[in-house]
Amino acid sequence: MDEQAFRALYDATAKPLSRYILRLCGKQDAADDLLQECYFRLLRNKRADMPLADARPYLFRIASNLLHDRWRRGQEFSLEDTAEQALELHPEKSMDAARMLQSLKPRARELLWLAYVEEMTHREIAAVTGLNVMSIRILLQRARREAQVLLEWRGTDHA
Amino acid sequence: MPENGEQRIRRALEELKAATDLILPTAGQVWSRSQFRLAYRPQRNAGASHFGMLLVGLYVLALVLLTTWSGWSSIGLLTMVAFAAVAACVFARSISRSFRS
Repeated sequence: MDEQAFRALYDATAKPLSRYILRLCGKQDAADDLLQECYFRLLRNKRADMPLADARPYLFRIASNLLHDRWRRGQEFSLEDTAEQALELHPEKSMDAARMLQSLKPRARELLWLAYVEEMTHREIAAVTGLNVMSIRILLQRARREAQVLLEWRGTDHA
Repeated sequence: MPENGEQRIRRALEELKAATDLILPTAGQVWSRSQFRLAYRPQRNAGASHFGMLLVGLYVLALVLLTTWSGWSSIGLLTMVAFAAVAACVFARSISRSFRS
């Protein structure tokens, strides 16, 4: 793959991928490292020539695997970096959502983001997470229920 | 009309998405860092290490045969020395590659 083609791929995928990593790991410096690692692995595995429709889920899959490695090593989500940004912009609701994500388990966090922000189908989420479609359905249902409870609780808390 | 739970989750996450201020490295930076790492990453010389192990195995086999059978001539000894030399070369090359990368 030449640099020109890489630029086109990067421009099309970097923003959503970076947002996904940042919101799931919560630290800007770690998110930068993980983003770099995703593209490095894509180039190393000589998969950069694949069509964009395939490259996007492939990059998300790499990101998911890297995030799970972090969580397995005990490097959990931290709100400290992202909270500062959100406070600067002052959207109270987004702080609620950030705290809601923080309170959820990593898997639930991942599924909700892929389903609601990236608007991926169950099949696409299955390809990214390596789970089967039936499990996605059940886990997403559970994650939705937990998120709903957290948002309601935070809503009454603020009111 | 009050929004249901699912709409509330969607809205909260979309607001969070909008509030996320991204500081992205440029494509050129990511490209050049990746190319640097690809050029200097440790090479996996699986083939070379298997070949080296095979040579060591043959050398040990030849040594066992030589010590257990007295009918060996000097040709046998030379063969063993040749094997040892080749094995040492492969080993040395493998080590030098590891150090360079």
